Amino acid sequence: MTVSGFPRPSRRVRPFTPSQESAAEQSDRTVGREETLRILVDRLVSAATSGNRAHSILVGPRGSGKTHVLNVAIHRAQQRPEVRQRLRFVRFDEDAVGITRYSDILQEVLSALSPSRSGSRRAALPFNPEEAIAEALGDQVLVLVIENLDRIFSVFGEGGQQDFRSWVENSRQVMVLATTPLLFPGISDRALPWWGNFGISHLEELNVEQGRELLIRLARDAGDTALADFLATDKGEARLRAINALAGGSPRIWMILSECLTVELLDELVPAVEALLEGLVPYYQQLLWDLSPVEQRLIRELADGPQQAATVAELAKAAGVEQRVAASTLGRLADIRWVRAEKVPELDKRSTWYRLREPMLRHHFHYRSAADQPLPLIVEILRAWYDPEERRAQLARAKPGSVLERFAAASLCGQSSRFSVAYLDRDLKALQADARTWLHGGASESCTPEAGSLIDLAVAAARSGPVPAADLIRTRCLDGSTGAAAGAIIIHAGTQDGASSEADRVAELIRFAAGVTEGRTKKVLELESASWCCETNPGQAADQLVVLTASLPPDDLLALDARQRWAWFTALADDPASAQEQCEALVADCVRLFGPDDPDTLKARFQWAFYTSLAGDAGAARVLYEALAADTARVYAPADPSHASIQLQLALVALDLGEPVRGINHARAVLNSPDPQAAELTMWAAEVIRLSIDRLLSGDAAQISDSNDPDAQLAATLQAAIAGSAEALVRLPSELVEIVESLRASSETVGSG
Amino acid sequence: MLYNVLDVQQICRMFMAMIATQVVRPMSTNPGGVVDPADLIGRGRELERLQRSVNTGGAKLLGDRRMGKTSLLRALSSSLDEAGHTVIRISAESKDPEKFGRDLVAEMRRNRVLRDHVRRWEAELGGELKVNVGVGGLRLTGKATRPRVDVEDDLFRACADACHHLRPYRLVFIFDEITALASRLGQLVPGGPEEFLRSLRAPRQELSGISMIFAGSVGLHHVLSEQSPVNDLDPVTVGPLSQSDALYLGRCLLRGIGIPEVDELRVAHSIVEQTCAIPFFIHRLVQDLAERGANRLLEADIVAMVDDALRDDRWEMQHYRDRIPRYYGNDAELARAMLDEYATADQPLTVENIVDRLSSTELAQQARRPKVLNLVDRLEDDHYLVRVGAADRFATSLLRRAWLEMKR
Repeated sequence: MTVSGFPRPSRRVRPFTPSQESAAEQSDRTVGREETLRILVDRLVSAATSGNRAHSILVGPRGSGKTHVLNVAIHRAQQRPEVRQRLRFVRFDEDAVGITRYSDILQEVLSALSPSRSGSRRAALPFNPEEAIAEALGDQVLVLVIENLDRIFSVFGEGGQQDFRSWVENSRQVMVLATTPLLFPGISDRALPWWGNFGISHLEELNVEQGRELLIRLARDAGDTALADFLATDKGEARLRAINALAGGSPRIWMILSECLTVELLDELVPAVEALLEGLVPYYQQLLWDLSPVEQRLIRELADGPQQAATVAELAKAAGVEQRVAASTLGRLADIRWVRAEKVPELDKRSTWYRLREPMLRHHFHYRSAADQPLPLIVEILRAWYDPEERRAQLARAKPGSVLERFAAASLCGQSSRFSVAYLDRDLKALQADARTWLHGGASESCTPEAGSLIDLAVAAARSGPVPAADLIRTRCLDGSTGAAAGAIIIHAGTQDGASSEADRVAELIRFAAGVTEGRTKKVLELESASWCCETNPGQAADQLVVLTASLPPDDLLALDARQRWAWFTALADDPASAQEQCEALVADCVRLFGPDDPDTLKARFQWAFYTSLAGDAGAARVLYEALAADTARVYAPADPSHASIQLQLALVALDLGEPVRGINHARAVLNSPDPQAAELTMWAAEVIRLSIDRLLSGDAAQISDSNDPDAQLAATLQAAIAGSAEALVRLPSELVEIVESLRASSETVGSG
Repeated sequence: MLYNVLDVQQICRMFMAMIATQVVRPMSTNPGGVVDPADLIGRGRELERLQRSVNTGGAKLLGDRRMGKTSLLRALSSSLDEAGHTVIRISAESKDPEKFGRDLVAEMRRNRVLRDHVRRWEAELGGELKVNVGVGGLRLTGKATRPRVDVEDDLFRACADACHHLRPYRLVFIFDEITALASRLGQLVPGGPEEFLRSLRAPRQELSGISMIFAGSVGLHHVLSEQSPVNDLDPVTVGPLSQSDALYLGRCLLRGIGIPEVDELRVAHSIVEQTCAIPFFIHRLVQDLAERGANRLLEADIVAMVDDALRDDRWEMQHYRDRIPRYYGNDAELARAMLDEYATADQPLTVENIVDRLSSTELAQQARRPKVLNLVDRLEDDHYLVRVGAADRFATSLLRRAWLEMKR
């Protein structure tokens, strides 16, 4: 089966019947429920080892994982021998039928406890069934596992509940472990017998991190390492955030998603959401069937109606239901988490607005009715919102002043680095995206919106010419001085040499802009001007940046940015030792200002190590990279690209130090990186491996550092074999013998020649 | 001045810690379930009073729901049994008197003294033993497997005879939720509850060596039109734990959920303060903490959690307001107004204070001293108020806080 031409995966989870799955497997993949599980397991163990019978009930809507948690709690408790010996579990599943009286409970328990009665479940009860159960139990404790206790209590009525409680109290051998989709009077009404008898645990939805962890575990279980690796990346997380915004955090929805997910589907996102909708059909059908006709009409109206949210009066009218009935029904639907009730302070405070809790339900109705649906557009918006790379690209290409531009800029605020790095590759799109972020208030601590406007204008003018760029001034509604500077830029753009590159024209316009502005905007433009104008003369750039740094307070973010750029241009100007020194001081300031685990601090440490290596101190560079690798591993996910970058640098450092075996190991780590975007690094890593092998085969390695390292031993054996050792040749893995023999033959030929 | 206040608080906390000298051990939360007597914290004074009452015929255990009456009765049963008394403890919470009879027989069969007699009675009465439960009392009878179905014997008389040789040790019947059964009998026969409870009083007075302890979630005053059937029983009230016991319970539960020990005493103190030392709420609050997975906790976190619970009525305190029409009928409005006055007062209020405060309201006509006095007594019986000298205040500051929240 395919969705939109994408292959569908096949997995083994049972989102609708978790009771049919192996509890051990469920336990292994459980996420986000550890605290509740710990409480339940403690209580079961306590029941097995003492007279405590802490009745417990899990409350959560359908699909929240109640059955799963019960299974896992019982499984984990049963790992204890005392639990296996002393507790007898009798289970009433969620679809148990025919339990309408207190005596039905006794009947079922007796059938479960007495094998002789198992063939005759409806055999007459003994005169005193409670006593018969006590006899069957002996000194064991009965754990009654009852799903959907609300239904059972509802048909029992108060009398049945009283009988049930008196049995539990008198027997002293019964513990009740139950579930319910919502709190119900039987346990929440103080006037009823079971009030206050249960420890109540509410199962909340899984957040994105927990959902991602669940999907990764499921993908690994299914052997889909590519998907597991992709899910661990930032892009994978971004896609899941988009889906979470649509579908909410019900564990069952995450499970259904796992059933229809591949890397390709998830990356494209729209097909993944379509596949999820397809997978959700039976789920929503079942849920809807469980609702009363009035409830169904109200839900349908919310899902199909023209508005996402509506008042009771509107819904009652649209659904043809009496308003009083609609109000009470919507209250219940809110209790069981179908709808969300909201008061809007700006509107009539007496009105309550209702909307569907899961946006996906609305799309389910559209999907089923094959109606025109805005879903692909919504998914695209979500996809862009949660993916920083996508947002930057979107920001650069958005029409100035458009909603899309504001949307993309707003979504990037506070999420990107404090420092622009567009100058490194002279990437105009990246520069424009940064400028538009500043324009909309991003990086407000260092850059001004005015600087953002003028740089954006400079890029537009360099690319499209002065006339189209002039329109931008009107769009941006610039203030007096900025407007004047913008006009000057447009005029200057008209004098530019069309033969020079776009980047050069932009650089020149920024320098010009710096000359006609004042204050902080001027400083920002000077920073970019120095970074963009001096491609062929890095020394000059460094000099300008020194002057700029001196003119700013030491802890100013712009000063830190300038120092970072100064180090870069100093290194380019063949003075890596000064760059190293500068960067060391910069790292200290970053740690002080941002903290040791801040992404910008870690980037500064990378640069410090890099310049140290360039300065020729490979040993010191290795120490810095290794410390950075350890901290990065602690701070970032395994698939973060920074790991592969550090490993590649460590490989290069190892080569510098004449340790090709270590070089190969580090380079191999890059090849094995789960970051799918590490293609360029992978190419470099392959090159490092080739170089290292050359060094090894030529016997050029300075030393084989660790005699216990199997790789080092292999390298030593290889070198000895190439040098002519017969013993080494014998010890060599057979697959390498042919290579060594041909090398020896060629060297003999060269020698004899 | 500030330092003085802080010092006093610090000294109070140290004092609390010192008197909580029991060894803190990890305990799992158990809000409302069956508590092992070994895990029952505190209640020494109440237990002692109940034990003493056994020598004088028994006691009625009074207290609000989930205050720990049943757990106390379990501990009492255990201690009396260890002391050598013969104890039958049973919950009478059933809509079906027959079920109560079955449970009673089962309990007697479990009892090491009575089980042999049960066999003997079965032989004498003809078949499997039954207890007939009626307003006239509890009678032993045999299941009709033999023709001698007319043979009946008074349960208490038969049991007293069976235990005669054990004197001076006594035969103690502990009837939990007795009001549920009495109410049920009242539905079957007018005046049933009084007659039934009177039938239980007779053996206490006429037979030597029999004692009874009664308890019930619903107060006896709601079931009986007059109290004479139970006025021979000592009233023993169970309320919040003592501060030191509550602190100890809090620490054990916190230890059980793995709160860092450095925070244990501080957090436990805050929990006790916020829950007014009511063990049920201590358990619930600690469970909530466990579910949150909190590592480091501040007092403010505890206060916020209780605020949330009261605001969202997760602790179901609304019931205290909702039940007023049912409990007080035509006087409901006056009762509610009186409670509003107690809730907003900084000090306990006398009956005169209440009359005075209501004199300028629409209820002035109703709020005459005799009626107010009568309502104050009933509000005490229903655990809204407690007497402080000649005045009254809310039974707990938690209930007062909840009342103010509901009133808002």
